[in-house]
Amino acid sequence: MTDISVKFVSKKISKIRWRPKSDVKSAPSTIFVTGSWDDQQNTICVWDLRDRIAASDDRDDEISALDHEPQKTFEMPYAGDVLDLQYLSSNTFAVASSTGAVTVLKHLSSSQTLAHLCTWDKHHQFKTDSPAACTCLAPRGDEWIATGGEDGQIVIVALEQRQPVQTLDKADSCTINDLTFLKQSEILSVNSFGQLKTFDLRQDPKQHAQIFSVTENHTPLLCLDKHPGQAHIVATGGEDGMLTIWDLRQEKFPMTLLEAHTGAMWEVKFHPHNPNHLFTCSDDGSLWHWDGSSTDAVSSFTGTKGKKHSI
Amino acid sequence: MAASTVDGEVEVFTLPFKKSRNLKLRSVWGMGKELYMFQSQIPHKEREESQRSFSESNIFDVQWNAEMHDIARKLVNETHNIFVILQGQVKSLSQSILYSQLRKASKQYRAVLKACSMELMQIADSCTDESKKLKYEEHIQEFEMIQLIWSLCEILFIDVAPGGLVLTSLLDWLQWHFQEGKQLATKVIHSDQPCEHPQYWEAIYRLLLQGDTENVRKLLALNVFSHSDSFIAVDEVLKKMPRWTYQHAQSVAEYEMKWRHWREECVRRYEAGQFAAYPELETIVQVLCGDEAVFKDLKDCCETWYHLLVSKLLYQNPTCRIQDLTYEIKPCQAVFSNSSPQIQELDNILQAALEFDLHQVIKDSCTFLSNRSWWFVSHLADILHHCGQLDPQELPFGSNLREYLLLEYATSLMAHKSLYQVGIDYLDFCPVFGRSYIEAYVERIPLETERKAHKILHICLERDLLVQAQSICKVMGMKCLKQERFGSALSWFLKSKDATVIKQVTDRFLNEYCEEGKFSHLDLIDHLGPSMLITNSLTFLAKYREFHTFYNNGDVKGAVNLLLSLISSRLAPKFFWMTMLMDALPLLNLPEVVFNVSQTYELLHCLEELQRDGTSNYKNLKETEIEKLKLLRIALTRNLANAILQERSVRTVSIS
Repeated sequence: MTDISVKFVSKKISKIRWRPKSDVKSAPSTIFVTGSWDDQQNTICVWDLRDRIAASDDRDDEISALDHEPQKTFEMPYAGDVLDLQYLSSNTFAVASSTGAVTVLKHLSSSQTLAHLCTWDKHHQFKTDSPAACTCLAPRGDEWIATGGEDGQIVIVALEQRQPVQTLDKADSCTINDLTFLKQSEILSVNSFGQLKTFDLRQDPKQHAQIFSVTENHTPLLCLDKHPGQAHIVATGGEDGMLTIWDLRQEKFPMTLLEAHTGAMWEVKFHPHNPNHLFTCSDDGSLWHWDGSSTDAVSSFTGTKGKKHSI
Repeated sequence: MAASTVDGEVEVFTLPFKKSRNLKLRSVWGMGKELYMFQSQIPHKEREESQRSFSESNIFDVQWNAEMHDIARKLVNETHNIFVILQGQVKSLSQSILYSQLRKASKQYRAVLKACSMELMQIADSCTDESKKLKYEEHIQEFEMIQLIWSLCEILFIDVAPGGLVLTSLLDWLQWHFQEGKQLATKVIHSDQPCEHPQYWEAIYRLLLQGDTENVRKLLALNVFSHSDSFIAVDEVLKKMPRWTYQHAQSVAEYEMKWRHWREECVRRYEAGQFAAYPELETIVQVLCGDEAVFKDLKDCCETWYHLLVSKLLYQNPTCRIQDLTYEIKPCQAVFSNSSPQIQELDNILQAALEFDLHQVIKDSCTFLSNRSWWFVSHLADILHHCGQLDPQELPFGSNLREYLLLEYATSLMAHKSLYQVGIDYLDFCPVFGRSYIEAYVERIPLETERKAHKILHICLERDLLVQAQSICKVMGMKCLKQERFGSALSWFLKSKDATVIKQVTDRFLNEYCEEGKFSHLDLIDHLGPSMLITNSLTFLAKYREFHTFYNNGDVKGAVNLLLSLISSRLAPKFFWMTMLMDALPLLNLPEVVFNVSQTYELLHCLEELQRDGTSNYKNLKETEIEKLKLLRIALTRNLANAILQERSVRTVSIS
């Protein structure tokens, strides 16, 4: 059982992401970014894992990263709740807000601060012109970002352009909860009706490529992630805490259904180098590590009563 | 103890409203301890004056008892954790193990309090805004007082020393909260000529009064004359002073005997004049002898009467028990006459604690310390309750004191935009009123995004609040309907399983079809699955789509049968019958007869019923619709004729 280090930060954090390494050979990143939600004034913070002030220099053994306490190096106010945060490259990341705006921010190397690159306001809107929350983001390379929102639209923007590259405005009848790029021009999304849909950007936007359903109860699917190696295998997590693995080559129904958590599962991630391992986190306060080679949950870390939002 | 006695100072809020003859102030309750204040016009009863709308109208969100929650949010969150774990332990552990856990919890609370206090000091130091700085400092002061009271209560009520011998704990308490002695001593030691330092003797007296003989001896050793006889004698006496610790397995009687012996020696030496050369040393030994008068002289080194009380007890009666404390209070207080009103309040609370009057402590703390937050009284009362120290008697309010205080704290949390979840967790542990409070509050939490709605639904379902869960689903669905997101609305309404609201959405879908000739949300409608059986309207919708599918695939028989069953079941809303009958038109115009006689009669019957109904009278219909009706009638009649012919004729089969 590995060590867990806990730090209270006095904000509800909705998304937390490690900053990617700038190149493959450098040391593992010690910087991560958090976005908060459900507060009077939400913030985006940059944290750094620094050494604890107590001297541990005389210890010969390896100091694991967990011995360090994260220090907040920068804080920036943000309008609306942070609903998704994804890194585009090792320097820039995009943030989706509940006001319907998408913002791209950049780490400045000189100071440990963030600079604002660009914002698309009212990225998502309802028919009545009121702003819709932008719920998810998916980057393609470091140029394009696809976003989905509560208005059921998928909008694709390129970094330097104000106008969107493409808009799929009748993409979904329900709220899109998560999406990802399957291939260069194919997008996969999950929605609140419990459906998994694929869209081909080259085709006529009025047709979906395929729709898959989980079960008949229509429990909303909240998160998805694709297998790093085999692009036709996808994992999704639902509001009932069920983990589902799909094979997109098969029609309609999922491959495996695993009852996992007792609360809604908010994020699921494959390990980028070891795809047999899968991690899920949920509203019931636990983080589970799944090992595909033995099809059992290997270990579960139960945190305190707090709810887990992101991995 | 009546609930009405817990009334605090009156809080006054000044709001910038324009005074006007026509405008009065009104208010509406928010969540918890929150009021929305606004101005509105006084209606004129006599004549209808045109309502002059004023240009600016603001709504003010007034919250109280919650100032601490933004500034010391970490306190709220960390102690919430401790609280929940403690309640779990109360349920599961046996009495003796529970007792040690309660002590641990009390210490944890104090540790968190201390950490928050230090953080606040750091923030206050780096703050430039004067008014904010003042506020922080007020909070820090309040935290100091709370720590003082809590640690005293811990000694007296929670972590009671065996045998009731509290002096050692009280000395620790003193040393922890009155740090000036140590600070002075450090200053003196680091100066060039310690014994020449003006505060040298003051430092020694202060440490002596706290029972810190080690450091007193160190300071005395720094004196120039430390090699003289008097100094050596004092050093000896100090070294021999017996201390009561738990490690030594001596009984109380033994210790008392030792101590009396030692004191007699002090008195003997003093009267022999061993210290006559140095008046300060005489003072020291007088203290050791427990002489009354000298304590009065040294009252400035004690600063407060409770410090004096403990110091006196140390040197006059070290084996005193908790019950003996009350006798000493009045004499010590008499020595200190005046103090500011704020300190007066604190004194009252401490006095009540030393007199063992727990209820008075809580009552005074409520009055005095709960303006910024009910945190302190509620958590303290909770621990005392589980220790069995708090009277579990029911108040006229309807529940016991602990619950009353927890309810106050939870209510003040509910008004916070983000801490409502913490509030609900506290309400979970209020057995009498908690559930009804949760039921009332959870429906009123503002739902801005779907994610928040999912979270609150989860809260409801965890606690079996099914009515509230259904109502939240309906609210979200109605919001979606207003924004014309029919798909999302349907998915929320399906969750709520309420037939009436689902019918609203399906009616909108059907309307859309009537107007535009096609369905828009096919990805939903085609994939309803078994949930279409929840209500009739959904079943109709799904089956109608099926009819379209049959028709498009060329399955005429299937299409006909389905259409007929749909029409005869009368599932469809009235405005849709016209459309369905029109759907029958292309089928009627097919070369072969697909509708048999009874089916045709069925269609005619439906048409008649439709026309009899006032809404489809000839007067209300447009040109095109009248045309369509005519065509329909012609087609139906023709079909009837053909059908009768077909059915009634006998087929001749030629046998060849």
